[in-house]
Amino acid sequence: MTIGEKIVIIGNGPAGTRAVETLCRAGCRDVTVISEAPASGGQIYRRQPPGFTRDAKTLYGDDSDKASRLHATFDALADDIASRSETLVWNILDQQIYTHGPGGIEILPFDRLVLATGAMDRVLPLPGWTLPGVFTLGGAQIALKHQCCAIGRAVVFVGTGPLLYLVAYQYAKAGANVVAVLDSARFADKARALPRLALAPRLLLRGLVYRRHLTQRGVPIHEGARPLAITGDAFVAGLRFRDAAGEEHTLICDAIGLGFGLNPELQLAELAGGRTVFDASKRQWLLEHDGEGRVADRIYVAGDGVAIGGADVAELAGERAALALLADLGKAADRSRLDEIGREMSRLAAFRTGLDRAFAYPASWIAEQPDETILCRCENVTFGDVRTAIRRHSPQEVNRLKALARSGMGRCQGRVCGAVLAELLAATSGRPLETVGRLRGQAPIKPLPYVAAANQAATAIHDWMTTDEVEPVP
Amino acid sequence: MAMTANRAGQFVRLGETSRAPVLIHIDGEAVPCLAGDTVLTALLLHGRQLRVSEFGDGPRAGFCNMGACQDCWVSLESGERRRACTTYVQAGQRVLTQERP
Amino acid sequence: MTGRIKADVAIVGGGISGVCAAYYLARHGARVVLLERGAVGSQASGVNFGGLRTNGRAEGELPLSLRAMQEWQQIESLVGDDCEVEFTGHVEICDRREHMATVESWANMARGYGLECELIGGNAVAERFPWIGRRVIGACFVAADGAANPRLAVPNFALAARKLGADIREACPVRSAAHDGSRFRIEAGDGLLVEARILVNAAGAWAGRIAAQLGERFTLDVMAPQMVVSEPFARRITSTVDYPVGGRYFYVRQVKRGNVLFGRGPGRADLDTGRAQFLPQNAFDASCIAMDVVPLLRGRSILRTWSGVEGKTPDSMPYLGLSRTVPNLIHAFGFSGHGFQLGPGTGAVVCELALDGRTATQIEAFDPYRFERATAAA
Repeated sequence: MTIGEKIVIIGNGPAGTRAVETLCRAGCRDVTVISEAPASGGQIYRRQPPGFTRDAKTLYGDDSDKASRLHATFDALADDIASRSETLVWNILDQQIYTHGPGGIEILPFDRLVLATGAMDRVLPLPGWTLPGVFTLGGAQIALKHQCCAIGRAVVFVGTGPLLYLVAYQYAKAGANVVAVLDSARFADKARALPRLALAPRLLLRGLVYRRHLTQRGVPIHEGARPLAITGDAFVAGLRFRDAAGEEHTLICDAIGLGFGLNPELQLAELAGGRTVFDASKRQWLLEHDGEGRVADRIYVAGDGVAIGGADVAELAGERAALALLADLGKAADRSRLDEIGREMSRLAAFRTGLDRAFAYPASWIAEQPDETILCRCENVTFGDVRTAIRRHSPQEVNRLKALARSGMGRCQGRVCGAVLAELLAATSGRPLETVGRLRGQAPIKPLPYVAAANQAATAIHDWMTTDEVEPVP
Repeated sequence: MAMTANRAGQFVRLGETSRAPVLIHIDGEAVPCLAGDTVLTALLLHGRQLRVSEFGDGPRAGFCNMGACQDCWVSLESGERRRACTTYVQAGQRVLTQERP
Repeated sequence: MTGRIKADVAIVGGGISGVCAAYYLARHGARVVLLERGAVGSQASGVNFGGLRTNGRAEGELPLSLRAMQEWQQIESLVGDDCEVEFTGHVEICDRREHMATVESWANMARGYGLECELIGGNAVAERFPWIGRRVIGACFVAADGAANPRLAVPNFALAARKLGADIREACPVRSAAHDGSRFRIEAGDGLLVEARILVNAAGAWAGRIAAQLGERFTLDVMAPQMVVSEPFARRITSTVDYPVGGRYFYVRQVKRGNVLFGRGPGRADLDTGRAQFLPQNAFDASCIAMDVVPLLRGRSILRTWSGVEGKTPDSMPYLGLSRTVPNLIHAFGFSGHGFQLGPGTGAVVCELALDGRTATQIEAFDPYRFERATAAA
């Protein structure tokens, strides 16, 4: 059974890989997979560059089997798909995707599109967070996993969420010097979330194992800890924090891994016509879909790029979105498999709400940041600058605030500061977070070289610019 | 202000050192790296900054290390620009870290 | 927002024309209500190039443009914010003899209106603007031209207008507009009723619909300006450059913070959703031109593109003047992509039309009925 529709999949992490697998197995013959990374696996199962020798167990620990299977699955499909790696998709319009890769810009039409664009760290600015030596938790993890490096000689991990403990554990296990782990979440929050967390007992157990390993190595774990400032002149020299009892301490360190969960990367889905919906418990905007991954006409979504769910959920969501796509092409829907996936995802979603409760994003710290703290690191806009704009103009929503204060106008297009900007606007104007909206995605979703764009100009333009008609300078 | 050769870098190698050597130049100085290093890794093993913030915030050394935050763009001597965390070292690269863009 | 408001003047449309009109009317003590369907300055007025340009402007627009420029020169004292206004000059470059001749004749015409402009030769262009990569035979340079940040201009004019007593309602789309013989009745938002003796139709691309509600028909198309902005880098482009390619202008400038901005349309706009789409081919074409005209952009990257909704008339001149059929109705729309610089002038003229029934500024070229006259004459 051959299916000739042109299907494009953006992202080849867990969600993208399972989507490709499901589609190819069903007979899809025109599948193109596009990824920014040089190899498949996404962030969590990111593969090391050629020449590295660490085995899967070293790289992925308890997830080594899953990672290896996922990689093998993708590799086995290599002959059946067209692959564009190190290629950015920077726009979607009129059923075409616009890419930029090693060969320049390409415009690819599609019949169906699956978006599996993943997530990036959710940050919370504090004084000194732009200093050399401060990385996101994800960034610290990539230094280790992808480059076999520690981000410093004395690393403090700060933030909250399961990733905090995982990265700290991975660093300690790899022989890096982990000075301390600071978790904003209190023990009491985690205890209250226990019933939900117990829905995925193996994952819960793993978290406890990571903690115990750190403790056994003498790494202090401070729960209910509030980082006050990262100190240093030209690079990180220390971290001042307040512990759960209210006492202030200073840690000497030269690197910080900072992260408070993850934010889905929604920009492409929005450009493709997807709508977002606000989730109050997560304090995040998520992609709205029909329950099976359909987000707009011919557009499907899966994985952390929809809502943060982790790698296992992403694999299931990728498969489910592909099954929905196949059903829409007229193939009989595998209802029993879809139901199975649905049940498993419900269980994991309930577990996820436990994580949300255990490791809540400490939004209240945003309004408490001093004026001098940088909010938008691309444009060097401070909390004070933004507060001034809010006071003067009373903007109703965050895109207007961006226009007035410049926060979000930089190279990262608000990926890092956008959610924080919204929180500050909501807190300063005393309004619910949902009412201030979110930063609108605009093309190109990442910087696009002019030279590449120029190569795509219409012939008439090229001709005009190179015509011999031009008069010589008198 | 040029960095001295014996100044400690930001990153620390924890292993994987038997890879093919690659020679690049950082601020005019020849610096050996290993094939598979990203430009960000190479620069931060050697020193503690990638660039100078164009709006007065001082030195920067990247942040997300995964091509999302766009904080690690560096200039090559040729004037071209590279996102350091998603670019791998290549023999002959000549990177600048002290430039205001 | 339910309620009933009585005002001297009701303004439909919160672009630069409407908001400036509100500002000047409020300054003159009139009771003004402005109704805007979204946020002020969110369409053409907020997404344009930001050029404060007299260079190359159609003759009919020059009086209004020069009047507006005087206001821009004092922007900080008018609205309490400099809106990033700077007067770094505007140069229109020519590499074709025919174009140079057009530019020369424009310069001669413009001098008659008191506008100072310099015609310079190719060598002088290369010397004074070394960052221009194109060989040219000459150029026209207007030193007193400049640029502003359009995203700051309208919000600051609106703030100033509010401080002077203007009632500016955002998220308040007009549902219906009618004249009952003595005054205008406008329904807007959620059950808001505005009654005013005078109505200003400054609804931009939607102004045709407002006019139709009052029984008038004007030819107005929708257009979508397309802008491309670069990452910031050290400033070397010191003036705005204008260069026509195939009959359509390419214009580029670099702001103080270092971003390079250029524009080239046309885009695609939807009146009902109020959304405009950026069409990538415009970025490709404009980038090709840019690589040649300002080659220092090579090696740099596009950060963002955007578009907005604008109204366009058949001759690209606005409709500005008193209605002939509806008493106390003033039209101020159809600026066809170059109304931003005119904005404060438009606002001042609308204020005069509203309070005095006439204006000293020449606006004949903007007669809303000029196409009827042409048809009648034919």
